[in-house]
Amino acid sequence: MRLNGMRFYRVSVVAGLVLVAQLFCASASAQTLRLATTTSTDNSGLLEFLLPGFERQCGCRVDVIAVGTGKALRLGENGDVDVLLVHDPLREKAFVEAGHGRYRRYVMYNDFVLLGPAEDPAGVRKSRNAAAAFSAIAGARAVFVSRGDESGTHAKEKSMWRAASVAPGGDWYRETGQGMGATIQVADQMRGYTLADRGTFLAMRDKLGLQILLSGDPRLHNPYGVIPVLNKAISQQGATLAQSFAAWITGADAQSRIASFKKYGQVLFHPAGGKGLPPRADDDS
Amino acid sequence: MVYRASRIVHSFDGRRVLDLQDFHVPQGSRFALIGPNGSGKTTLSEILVGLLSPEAADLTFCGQPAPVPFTAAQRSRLAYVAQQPFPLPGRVLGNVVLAIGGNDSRGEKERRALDCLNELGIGRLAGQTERTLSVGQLRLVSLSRALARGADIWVLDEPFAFGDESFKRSLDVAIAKHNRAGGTIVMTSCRGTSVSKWADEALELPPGNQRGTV
Amino acid sequence: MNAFFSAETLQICFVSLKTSAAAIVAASALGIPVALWSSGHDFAGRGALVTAFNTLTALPSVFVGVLLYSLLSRSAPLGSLELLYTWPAMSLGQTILAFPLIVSLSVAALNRTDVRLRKEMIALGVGRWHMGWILVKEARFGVLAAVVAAFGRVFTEVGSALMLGGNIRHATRTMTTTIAMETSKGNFELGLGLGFLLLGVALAINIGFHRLQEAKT
Repeated sequence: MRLNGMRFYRVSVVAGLVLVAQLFCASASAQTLRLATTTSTDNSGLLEFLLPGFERQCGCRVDVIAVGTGKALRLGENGDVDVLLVHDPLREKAFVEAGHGRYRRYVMYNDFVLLGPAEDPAGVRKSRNAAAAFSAIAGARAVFVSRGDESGTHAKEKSMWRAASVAPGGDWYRETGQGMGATIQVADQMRGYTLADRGTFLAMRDKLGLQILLSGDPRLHNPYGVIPVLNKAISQQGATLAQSFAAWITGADAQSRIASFKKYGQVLFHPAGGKGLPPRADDDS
Repeated sequence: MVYRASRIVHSFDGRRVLDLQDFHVPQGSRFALIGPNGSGKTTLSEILVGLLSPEAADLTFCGQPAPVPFTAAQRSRLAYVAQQPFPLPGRVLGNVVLAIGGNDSRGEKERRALDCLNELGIGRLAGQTERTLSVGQLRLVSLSRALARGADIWVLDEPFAFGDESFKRSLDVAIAKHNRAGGTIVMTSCRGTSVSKWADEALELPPGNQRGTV
Repeated sequence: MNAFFSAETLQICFVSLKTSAAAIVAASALGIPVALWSSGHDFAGRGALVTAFNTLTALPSVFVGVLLYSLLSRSAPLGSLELLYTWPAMSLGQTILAFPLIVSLSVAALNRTDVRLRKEMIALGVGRWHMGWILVKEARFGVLAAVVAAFGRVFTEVGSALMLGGNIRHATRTMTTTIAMETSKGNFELGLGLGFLLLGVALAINIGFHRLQEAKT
């Protein structure tokens, strides 16, 4: 019994030392760049594919925080992250104009797709365009599952309701307040409609009964921008890294890597070459 | 004078268990508190060592008004052996070492602790867990802690109740030796006869149940 | 299932373990003395204090997360510590979650110890810290149960870990934040597998604690 006590004592001492050592590692971390991005870019595996290239080049580590665009912008505003990779052009523009970002560069795009059950109770497949599809869903009071989380996808969805001149609400309109994957699953279980980015849908396609009912409308364009955050709470080092990241991801190397990133036999993101704005001024104009 | 009290009063749940007038214990005395069960012997002995705060008291300890709890300096002069001492967790030797203050090395303290145990004839218990001891053995262990601390005033609650003969002998010898060295001993007992030949002063507590409710 | 049997899974386990272990060490080091103090003597407001700790055991972890975020954000008072999105930040959140639970359950355990033990030690003149240590040894079953319960709470919480750690790969990704992430991606099998792994680790730790209780008897 005394032996047991001794052994416990030794194990605790070793564990304690490991913890203390870890604590020092955490405080004396090497150069890190903190990137806030959307779940869609992270979950698709794109960043895992791209980032090692940048990490090698800058000799730093990139910490990715995957949240909705709304929260990512808020983290930027508070100076908690150094750089943003998000997809809500209107709010990105406002963010930079309010002095929270140095500039915004257009990195890449993909598109949103309208998902729904195969039986398509609202007749979305027959709609002329996306706005007509959204008003058909509201007209049929068919279940629509919304992100409801101020993400880029949610912003796009709200702009589509505006385009359809519908103020969504009522028992057919369900807000999950969760990420893309979770929201798609809820829509699948409820046999409802939802707006999703193509990449996330493709990643989950095999497990779903939902199908793409409408895509290709220019309004469903989904542009991603990079913004180095401007905040006095950010270290000089973080600010410098953020700018070199923005330059790198819009540069030729990274852009061709983005174009070569395929999943499920499809290109998920199309490079946009770092121009200041998306080719098409977004909706609401 | 070790203790001098003009009045000590205490109640539990509205029942007066103790009401004493004019009570004093001289330095170096063998003082017996005699009374039947329920007469407040344990209550009084706990008050005398500062474990219990009496309802009302005019009590001095070694010439100083007695605060509750006692100061560390006062406490260092006092040792208390309960009727049924509660076993401390762990082994006997380590728990006697507890009683020894100062900055001596652990080995030195253990040596002194063992001396105290041997003096009471229970050196063989040193390696045992206290939980496994009998009540009589626990009292001796508790007393060996009193020896280890070098306390000069011992308060013993019913030390001779339910013990075997060898244990009583050890206790007798230890008490006599302590008294010869000038120590004061306060001891409670419910049987006056066995104590009266031993004590040089005695106080009889009236039976508690005759007091009625307050 | 290749993602399950990987070095990364091991690393995630390690992050979870070190975060929760540090939190439990800190919460015990703070909580047990507080429990000793509030069970040891009567003072005005003791009942209210104990009730407060009992209530705080129901502290929602996301609330602790947002509370600490508002303190640790770079633009917040403690922002200069650069703690946000590190494992010590998660540990801090978990310490706050574990602390009231350890206090509350330890107070209950210490109150169950025999009053004669305290008397014996007071009569012996044992110092306050030493006395505390002996009381904890006496009440070790209850106190260890408190520590085990607190470990269970923090090891399995996800709300504050997500807010304060950020689920950063190779850095602050814990078992619970991974389960949440994989589940939201629709990888239910991986989520389930990690859930069972988490249970397994918790079981191993509980067996360890149990043996510790036995060993000290």
